[in-house]
Amino acid sequence: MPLDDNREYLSLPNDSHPSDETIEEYSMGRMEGPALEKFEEHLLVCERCQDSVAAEDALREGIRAAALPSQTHKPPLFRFNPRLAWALALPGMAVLVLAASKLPVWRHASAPVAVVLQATRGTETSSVAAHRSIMLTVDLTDLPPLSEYRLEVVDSAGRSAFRANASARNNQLHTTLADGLPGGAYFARLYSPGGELLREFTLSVHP
Amino acid sequence: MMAKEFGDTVHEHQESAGQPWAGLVDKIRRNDPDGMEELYRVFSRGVRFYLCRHLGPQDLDDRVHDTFIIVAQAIQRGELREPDRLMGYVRTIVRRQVAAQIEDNILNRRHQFDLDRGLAVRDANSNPEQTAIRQENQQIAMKVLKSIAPRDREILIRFYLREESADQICAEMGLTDTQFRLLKSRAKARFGQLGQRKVTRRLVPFNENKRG
Repeated sequence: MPLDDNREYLSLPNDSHPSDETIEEYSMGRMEGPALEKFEEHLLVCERCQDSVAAEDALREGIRAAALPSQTHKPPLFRFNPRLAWALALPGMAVLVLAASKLPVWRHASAPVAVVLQATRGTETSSVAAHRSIMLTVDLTDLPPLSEYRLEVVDSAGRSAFRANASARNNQLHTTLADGLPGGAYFARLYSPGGELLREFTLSVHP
Repeated sequence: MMAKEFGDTVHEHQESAGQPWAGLVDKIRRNDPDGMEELYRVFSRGVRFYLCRHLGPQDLDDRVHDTFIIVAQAIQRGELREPDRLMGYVRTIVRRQVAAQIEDNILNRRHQFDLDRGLAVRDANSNPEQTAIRQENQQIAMKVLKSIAPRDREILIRFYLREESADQICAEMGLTDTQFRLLKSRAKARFGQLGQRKVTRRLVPFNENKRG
């Protein structure tokens, strides 16, 4: 279909398409209210802007996918060395065991992993390594704006593994699971302050 | 702000652009087959794009078809009082489709959890080809990101990964607003150019113009 086939239905005069900044705002879920309404109505009939948003989405996902491993892949500061452990005196071994059990951050002291939970694509599952600190970002697109949200992460048996209350920022929720999660399958559930379940995501933690 | 200016322009132009919508709505009300065909021609790509962006490519043709049936039936029942509001009405229907599907997904996952007890997570890697393409594209994207200039890379990471505001980036990197916009635009173009040379396959074919 020619690019301007819907020209008579376009709600804009020629050469008045949204700016690059507007496309970025929409792609990142930062647009709200009447501006969002008007933009999405325009997007329904404008192929040029559909392609612009698709390109911006792809660029953003590409950069996030490329940047995440480089932001998080650092060698652990501490590795358990059995030979070293035996070489230490008994008190030293007790200290080592105590440190390993009480301060899990020493065992996997690497930069946190950024995980974004989005209500798109239906059945995709986010995946992250076990016991790695997680910087969780939850997409609030299409949800009612509330003063606060409650996030709970439960394992496959329904046991609560993490809870937090947080306020939205730029249509997103940010929280950190400092100690990460053990390996397994999880559900991240978003609730209103009144306890209504708003959205659910799946999260896979691999050992 | 850019979004507000864009919205004002849309509103002004819509006031003088009502004729095409009125004619289209009238055809659909009269059950004119040309009307349905025109409705599909005008909106199918946009509806498909929206649904695919929010729900993925699964069952996309069916969802697009359902959307048009709902819109046409609503018009024939007289539920669209102002033809000029057709775009807004279609948008509302599409958003309801997305919300309903998300709710279904949540209910399905819970139902599956009840049945499986601990094996409730649907295998996200059920399409090996897409998984392989995604991993390949990630490797390429990593190489491309490493190959662009350090300042450009920092701007992209701050803006897209850490989602820092323009003001914060300008303050911390010592840039004016104009410098920031230019550098960001250049960084995006460079990343896109280098990536396009290597990445040729798309995962989401939202623009396949199929008719139901």
